[in-house]
Amino acid sequence: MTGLERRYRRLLLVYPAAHRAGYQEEMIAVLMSGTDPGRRFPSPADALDLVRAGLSARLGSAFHTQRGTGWRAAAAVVALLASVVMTGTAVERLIEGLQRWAHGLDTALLAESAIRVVVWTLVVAAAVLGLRRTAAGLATAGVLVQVGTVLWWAGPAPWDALRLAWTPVLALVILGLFAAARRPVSVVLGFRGSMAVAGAVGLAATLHLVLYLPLGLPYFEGFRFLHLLPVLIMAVALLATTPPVRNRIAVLASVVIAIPVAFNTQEQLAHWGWYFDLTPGILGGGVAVLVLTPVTVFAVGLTVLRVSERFAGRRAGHLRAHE
Amino acid sequence: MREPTFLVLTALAEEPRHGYAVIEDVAAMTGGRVRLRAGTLYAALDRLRGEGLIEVDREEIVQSRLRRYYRLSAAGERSLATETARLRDQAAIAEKRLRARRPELGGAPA
Repeated sequence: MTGLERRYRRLLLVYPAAHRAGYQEEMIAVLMSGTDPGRRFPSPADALDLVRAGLSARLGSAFHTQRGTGWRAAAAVVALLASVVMTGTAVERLIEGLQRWAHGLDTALLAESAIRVVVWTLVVAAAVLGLRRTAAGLATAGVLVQVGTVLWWAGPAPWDALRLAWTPVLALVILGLFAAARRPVSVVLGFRGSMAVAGAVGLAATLHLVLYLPLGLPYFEGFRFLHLLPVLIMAVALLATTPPVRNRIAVLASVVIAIPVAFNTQEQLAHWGWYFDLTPGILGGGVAVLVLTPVTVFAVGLTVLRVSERFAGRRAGHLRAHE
Repeated sequence: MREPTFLVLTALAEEPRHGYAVIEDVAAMTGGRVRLRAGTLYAALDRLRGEGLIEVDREEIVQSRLRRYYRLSAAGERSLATETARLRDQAAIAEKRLRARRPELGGAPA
């Protein structure tokens, strides 16, 4: 980022956060296109115009709505993070598959997990490169692969199939998020934010490998807390987005996190491990949790968001209208 | 309707344009007389969007910068047509009065 761009960004702080969430990036693009090469400071006329328009936006006279921008930006971020989770779970299965294969056991797990790793890695790559349509197309393939995986295991290992049942649902949610996203995640998070998220993901993967793989390293109980580090870095990166986007990321991320968490909690509460056969009751319960969890969490999140934004709007002295 | 608003709608009447293309088109249309600045332009775009006179057409990333294209909505087309008719009527009145003055000025007995 050049000094001039930084100065423009500083000037744009005059605008309300919601306005910046909707327009900051394209305004920067317009401002940078309109300046002569070699210019280091904004022209006084441009600066004055921005301050005047920004202040009147704050007073509400020129400020109406930025429909959808917050949601679409948040969808781009959460779609990528959820795809990383899918890649991570697939990699974990791949490692398990490799161990089984090394011991001369079946290769089914290896084949299944390898396909998943490839598909979700491609989804992540497309999302990082800002190829939204490609990412959505690949996520469609991801949904089919996850459904295929569950069906594949339903015959030989029905319990395994049930334990994977949350993955097609999450894949479907990811597909929906990519379809809704309109902006590349790098634009939403900015360069530093993107780097921080990439760093956090890398760190989490490294820690996971070091702590849980049988590498023969000494183990200390305190290592467990190291897992908080990538979470912390990720939180800081996401906090750097504007409040409307940040709140929407929180709502959508809750939906994504709730799907595996609710499903695993149900498994533990219902003591699936005690049963020998899959009963229709267990299957029905699993499906019900998978269908109801995303819908309920999203509805609750939306309600909390609406209420908090209404209060925030009143405090700020104007009514914010979002999608 | 203020002049920047009218000019922004006129720029979008031809084809969907992104912010900087609107500035360039308005400058070309007015022979360089009006060069919109970013603050003024986005105040107008935000208001017009809020009123439903323009819509987002598409977004593109060019050299890692966001370009959002705006297009005239059906309501925007009607609004621009109404304003154009109003301006034409006023211009016609002004023209008629100026014409009426010419023989008076030119034809006045010395």
